[in-house]
Amino acid sequence: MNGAPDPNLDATGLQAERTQLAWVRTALAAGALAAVATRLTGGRPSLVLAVVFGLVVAMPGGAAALARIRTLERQPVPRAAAPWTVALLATSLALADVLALALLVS
Amino acid sequence: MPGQAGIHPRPSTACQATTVPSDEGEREPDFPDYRFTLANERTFLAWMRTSLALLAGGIALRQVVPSFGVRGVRTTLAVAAVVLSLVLAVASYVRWSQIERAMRRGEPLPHPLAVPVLATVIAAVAGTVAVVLLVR
Repeated sequence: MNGAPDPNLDATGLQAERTQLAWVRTALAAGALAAVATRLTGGRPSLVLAVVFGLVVAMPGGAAALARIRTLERQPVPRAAAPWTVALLATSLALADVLALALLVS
Repeated sequence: MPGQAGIHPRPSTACQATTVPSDEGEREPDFPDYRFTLANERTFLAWMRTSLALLAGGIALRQVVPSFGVRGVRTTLAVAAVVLSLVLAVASYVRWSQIERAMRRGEPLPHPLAVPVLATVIAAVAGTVAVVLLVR
């Protein structure tokens, strides 16, 4: 070992791991947001809002993250995410935004 | 071995389509370098978290922050944050797919329009809060 980088070695696993961690952070943020959103009605946290935001934000975010993380684990060379995983996350957040807007202006 | 650094063909340095081994060991044309496609994915996720933070910020403005003493300001700012969150959620998906397409075709990456929009709206919200706090 002379400390020189191996030209055949690259950080494929590390790249995938960083991406997996990014999905985990995003799923955690979606879960945290669903928890915060239960207070949108003011006063005590609303059970109905907890269920709605859990179904709209937390569950789709977690499902998309889980699917992508498992796919990355199976691929020796990472490939692009399936569009449905990306679309699921974006759509769930957009739905949460619409729901929050409706509650804010009502 | 998945999840570990291993011996793989060295990725190209250009942010464009190249040929790399597929899962079955065959070579596929027009497949973007994994480093760039994963970087694009992480950037999309960073935009998603920014959008989530704006939504949470909008909710916090409405429910946690005390009244500014001016009627409607708090709700207006909260709505602005949530609307920006909605715009970012949609724009981030569009940008992710645009960049994927550009990399597959070897085209230049599209300009990030959401960055100036985000900066402008956040500056406007912060400026409004500062003005209201100063004049009340």
